[in-house]
Amino acid sequence: MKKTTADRLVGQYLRRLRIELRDLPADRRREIVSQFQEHIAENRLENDREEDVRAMLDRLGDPAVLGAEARDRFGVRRRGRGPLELTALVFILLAPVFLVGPAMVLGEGSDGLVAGVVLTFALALTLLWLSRLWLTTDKLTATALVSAGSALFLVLMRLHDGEAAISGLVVLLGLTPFVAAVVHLTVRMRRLGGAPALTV
Amino acid sequence: MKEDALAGQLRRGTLEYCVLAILRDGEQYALDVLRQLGAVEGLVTSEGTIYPLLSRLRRDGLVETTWHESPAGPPRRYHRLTPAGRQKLDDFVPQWIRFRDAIDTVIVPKEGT
Repeated sequence: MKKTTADRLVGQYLRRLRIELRDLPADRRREIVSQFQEHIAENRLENDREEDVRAMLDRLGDPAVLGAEARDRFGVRRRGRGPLELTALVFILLAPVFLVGPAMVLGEGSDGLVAGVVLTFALALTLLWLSRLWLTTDKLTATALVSAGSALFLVLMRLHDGEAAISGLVVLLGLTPFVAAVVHLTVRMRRLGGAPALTV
Repeated sequence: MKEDALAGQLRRGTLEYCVLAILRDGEQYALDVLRQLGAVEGLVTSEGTIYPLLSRLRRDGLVETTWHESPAGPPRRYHRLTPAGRQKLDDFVPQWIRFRDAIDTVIVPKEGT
């Protein structure tokens, strides 16, 4: 079925609403969003012209205002960029160090590599997933980039097995996915209103 | 504006009792609750505010929901008072009347003076 302008308007509205409700517990957020979906679907059974849908969404209210009301109702504070998010970013940037560090200390046997991978994922990705600022899609993107970067790093290290110095180009190549992950998360953090947590 | 902020506070604080009162006589569909609230001027500025409110009332055990088949379209969610919700409403009504009357005696200009 082809998407109509009304579908797009509704999709946009619900996306904004989900973002504004992200500080609520997940089950509450789902319940509230599903009630909005019901409301919208019920109204569209009768009036589905673009201007009707626009007017209906206007009557429902600005997602930003609704989000503020919902936080107020549930006694939840707006979450913003905090120490958790900044630490996660620093750790993702440092992931290559975690990755190769143990191998350098323990020797380039498989123990060192395994320890490196575990350390990277434990530190960088746990913090990322603990944050309630980023959306799940952002976390998945960053996780994919970090995984790809780690795999690339390990392959490059294998290729250079035995050589004492890893060439600059290889390091640069291996760092790209990690930098990309941090850039992506930083941009999203700004988009999602990463005001300091205390300003509410 | 100051008046707007105060009106907003009053509305937020009392809206939950209005919803409880609308559910007093039996279960209702959310859109019908909205229709009744909408009939009262100034009570609801954004219709969407009722959904976080209903969610909160449900979490607090004051309202419960049931699903009913609808003649056209998907099943509908109906809301009804729990005994705790009814109790809360019954406690509030006399308090509100006393409070309202007390404020009225002070702020409403007396005629003929």
